[in-house]
Amino acid sequence: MLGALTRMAEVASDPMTAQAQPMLVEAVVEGASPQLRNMETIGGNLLVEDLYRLPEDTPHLEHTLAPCELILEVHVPHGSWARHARYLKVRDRASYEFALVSVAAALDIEHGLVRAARIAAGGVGTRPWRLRGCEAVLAGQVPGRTTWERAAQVATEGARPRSANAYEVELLERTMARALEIAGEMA
Amino acid sequence: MSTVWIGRPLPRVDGRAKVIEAEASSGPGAERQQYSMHAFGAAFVEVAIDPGLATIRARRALGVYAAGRTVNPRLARSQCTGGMVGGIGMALMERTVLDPRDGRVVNASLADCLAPVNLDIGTLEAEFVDEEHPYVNPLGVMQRSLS
Repeated sequence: MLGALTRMAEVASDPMTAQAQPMLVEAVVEGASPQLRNMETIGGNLLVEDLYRLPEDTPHLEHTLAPCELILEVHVPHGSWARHARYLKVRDRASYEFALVSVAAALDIEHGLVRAARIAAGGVGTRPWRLRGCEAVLAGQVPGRTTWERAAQVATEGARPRSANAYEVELLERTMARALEIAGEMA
Repeated sequence: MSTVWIGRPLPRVDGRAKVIEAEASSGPGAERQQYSMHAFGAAFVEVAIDPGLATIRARRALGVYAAGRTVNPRLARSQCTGGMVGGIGMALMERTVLDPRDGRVVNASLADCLAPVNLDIGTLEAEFVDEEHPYVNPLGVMQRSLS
């Protein structure tokens, strides 16, 4: 559990968090430069799909928090997810740069099978995008390249790219396959 | 290089002040026709390409320059490594975008211009060939903003 006012820098440098939730630390480190991490809080940087609104007819409203509502704390569930999890951010330069595409993938692998998966993509929509289609494809499968690639193929189902970001469709598939491969091979 | 000084003492005007007038001219000499006055350099960059994700990073970059006498080694190195960083940025990160309606460059500002950060280039070094160039100018120094 993390208090909403916990600084990103505290999460990034905490050895216990690094051991229990390596992907969380990866996401915090890759998500912002050290200067920003020193100022930003976890509550203010919450990357949870349910809190964000789609632009639709109200592009000026970005989230679902009502006036006077506050984020107090963040619970990160413990479990076997953390052992096979990876946050991968692809960008034009190695630091001080937004993601072209980012993928967070957590796999629950037991007895040689993917029991369940949780996957989200960033940089491809107006908010972090949970990819439940990929999760469904992965459930019950044998970990391996074929499985990762099959899941990656459904990652872009329903995507509506524009001329300037059409390349992100293939990049998302490839980033997804890579993130799953790394997460799946973690000991 | 040829320099001609013409000094000519003038007669006193009022008996107290003495006016002195001089003319000088300086211009390219005959050496310029005989010798190259350019600095030369070669830059080597080892890049790592991830074909799956289409990312490119410069692992190490080395520039070697023949640029006359090095007066201030620290400044010279800084100029040349800076030029190499700019070159890597130009090769990997810059793109000019035109407005299709009127042809104006829409990203003509430093705010839109990515420059490589420390993490983008593994090692970056500049070295100089120890050379004497007696013809370029009396000090034998050259401009290094060539990288």
